[in-house]
Amino acid sequence: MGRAAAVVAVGPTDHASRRLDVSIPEMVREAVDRCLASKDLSFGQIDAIVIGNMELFEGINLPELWMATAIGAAGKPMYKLNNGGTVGASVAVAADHLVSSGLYDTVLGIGYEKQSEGETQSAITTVGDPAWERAVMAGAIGNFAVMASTYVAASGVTPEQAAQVAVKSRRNACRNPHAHLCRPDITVEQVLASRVLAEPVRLLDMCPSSDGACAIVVAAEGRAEQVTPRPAWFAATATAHDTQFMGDSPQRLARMRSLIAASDRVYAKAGIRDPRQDLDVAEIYEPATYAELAMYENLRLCDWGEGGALIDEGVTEIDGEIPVNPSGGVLATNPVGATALIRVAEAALQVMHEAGDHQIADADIALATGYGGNAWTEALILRGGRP
Amino acid sequence: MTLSEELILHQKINLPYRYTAGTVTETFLEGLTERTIRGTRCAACGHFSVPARPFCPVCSEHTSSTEDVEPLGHLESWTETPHESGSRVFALIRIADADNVALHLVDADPNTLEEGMALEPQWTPDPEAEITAIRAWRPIRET
Ligand SMILES: [Zn+2]
Repeated sequence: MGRAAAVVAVGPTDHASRRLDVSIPEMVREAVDRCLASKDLSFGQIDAIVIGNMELFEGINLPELWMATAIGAAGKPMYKLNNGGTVGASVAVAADHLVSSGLYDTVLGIGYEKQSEGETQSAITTVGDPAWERAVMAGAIGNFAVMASTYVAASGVTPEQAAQVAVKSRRNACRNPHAHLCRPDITVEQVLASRVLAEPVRLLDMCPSSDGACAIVVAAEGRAEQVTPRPAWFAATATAHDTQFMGDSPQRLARMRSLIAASDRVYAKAGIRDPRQDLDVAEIYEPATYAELAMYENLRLCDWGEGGALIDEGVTEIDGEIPVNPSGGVLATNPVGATALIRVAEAALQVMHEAGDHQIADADIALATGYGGNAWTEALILRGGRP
Repeated sequence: MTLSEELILHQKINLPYRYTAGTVTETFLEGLTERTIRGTRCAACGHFSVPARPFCPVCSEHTSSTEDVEPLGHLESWTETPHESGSRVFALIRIADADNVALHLVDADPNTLEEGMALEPQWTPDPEAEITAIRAWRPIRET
């Protein structure tokens, strides 16, 4: 164990399907400026930078090179990560490691994606095994739907239960001024009437495609308390990988092996025995409604097969026993390279008691996850108060 | 200020890649040209993978020799994706007695599909050394 580290500042951009008002460096700078300004910080106080995105989505190679001057990185150490949907959470974990190891006192973490500027589905097809899966896969949605079908068969969740997740997300998003999709009047019927993308997944079951960025500042014990009175301490982080080859884990949504491995590890480290009772809030990377229900089970918020019942009973609503994604989650905002960092940023805001209209009262301990197509999970526990 | 559409730069870069199949995958792909499907059994843990692959997906041991398998699949899970040229069915298929399953296409009316249904490969007329040598899988009609 190194020294304690905490998230001390958070900066989201505004999100939209197309941010035509800014270039990529301008969009990233918007997040950095908001993050630093929120705690009266400046570039001079940043020792190192960790940045991540999905390069193939925008078709810009080594984007950190032409980003340097836009984010105050010239002359400083900058580390670039590029590991799929999890990348934003990996940025936070790496920033924690750099600070807790004693290498740096204050690290800026950034995730971003301008999905409107590339061909996401074609880019995602390049993750398939070249000899087998690439030629027969159906992009992110088709592949996800195959997994969802398996989960439906294993758990018996209904389209109505999935639709309730879509409703929860888009209503919660209306409390979050930075969310992309706010729909205050959305109904289960509307979700069920939206067009089928791939059975059983309908348009409103799926996350949107967003342009946006997110920045956080991570600081060491001693420094953190000077920046903000109630930092969000890293209580535990864990990373777990699994195979990308779909057929090696046919139950991959019903039994998410990398999520189980990573969450079990952070629960053990943070002393969490009953996650539903011990966690105050969870901000999870749910690419679709069916995934959120499956994640309830895999994260042990309920027993196997009870994911649907949990949403029926309102347990994960913003005023429920264990609120899940009070920010609106990925179903409301999805700039892929930033998406997992937004989960960490939201968890941090919750335990810092700075989440505004989507604040869970007295939140002290929060879970955040990053998801990379089941093949990679990051799990983090953040705690308010003392390290 | 919102920039006008005219100021968006449209660029298209041609970026072809090559992929070396490697020893085990090469044996698998060559089998397809003879309408033969091959798997690999792990000497360490016994896991049997179809398609044949160079490392055991369970214990990470090297696999070396391949085995020809019966060209028979069973439907594990599937989805129907609407498409302009008619819907397509993507499925997880258990081939022969494999311990894992494989993603491929099924050519059938999705309303007639059932879990566990027997499938056979539908080969292209002159199969080449690529997975699309199997055009799709189709239910075996009872005779
Ligand atoms: Zn093995």
